[in-house]
Amino acid sequence: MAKFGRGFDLAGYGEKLEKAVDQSVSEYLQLTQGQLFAANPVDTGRMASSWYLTKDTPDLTARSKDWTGLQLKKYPGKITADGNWYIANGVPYSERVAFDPVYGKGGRVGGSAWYTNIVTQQKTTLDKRLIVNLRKIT
Amino acid sequence: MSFQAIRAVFETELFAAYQAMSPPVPVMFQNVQETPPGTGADAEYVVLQISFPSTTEPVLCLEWSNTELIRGSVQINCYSPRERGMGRLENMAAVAMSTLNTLKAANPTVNACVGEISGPTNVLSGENPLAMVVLSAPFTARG
Repeated sequence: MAKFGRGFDLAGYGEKLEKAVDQSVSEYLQLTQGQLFAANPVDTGRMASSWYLTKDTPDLTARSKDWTGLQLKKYPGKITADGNWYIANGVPYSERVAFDPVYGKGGRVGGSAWYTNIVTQQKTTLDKRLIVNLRKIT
Repeated sequence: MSFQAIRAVFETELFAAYQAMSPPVPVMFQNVQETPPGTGADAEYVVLQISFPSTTEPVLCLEWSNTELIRGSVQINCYSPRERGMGRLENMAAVAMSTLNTLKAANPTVNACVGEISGPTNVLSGENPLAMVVLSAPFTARG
């Protein structure tokens, strides 16, 4: 089998590449969901616990109105790079809390601009995960 | 490297742009005004928030030892009374967008490069007596 500089082996390269991209997307999505969960201001914890990661269709349901506590709902299956992925929050007041500093004052990470702090850095977050995982290919 | 130098470019340029509107729009800066200028029927104002969520990255540069590229995030909230249409809010948003796109030329030393601007996103729900649009964008700069 053809070998390139520094012992790079072309055998199975496509499969390794696919695995690295899947791993990057998986880390990126879970990291983003975790960031939103961790930064979301908390009163009862309903909104913070309602960031749902889904494939192909956004899940706009939310924890029940009497929900109290903090619990991240993880995606139950395997996350791969194919398909469209959504991280959604169906709490009716989520838009206000995400964007309005009057309501977002309690942002646990990033202060009152907690939501846009996470969203505006998305490209950088994905780039970093891709660089880390693509470098592991030998 | 100075966060203040970066912040100063954003605050100075945006403040000047909003003062040039008719009537001028008050701008609230972080950790300066603790309470908005008002939530009454005629209140309108802008809240400017600058964050540095991704700290620093090294860049290769012969002339500046340890020069750092700062990644940041800017959020601009524009508030205006409800039930008066979207015109004023959208004008305020347009001022923010055009100003953000001229920051690089405004101070070449800081070289604030604003990336893709999200918004204006309308937030008209909730109990707040004011309607709001919000814009946000990532940026890089050298302090």
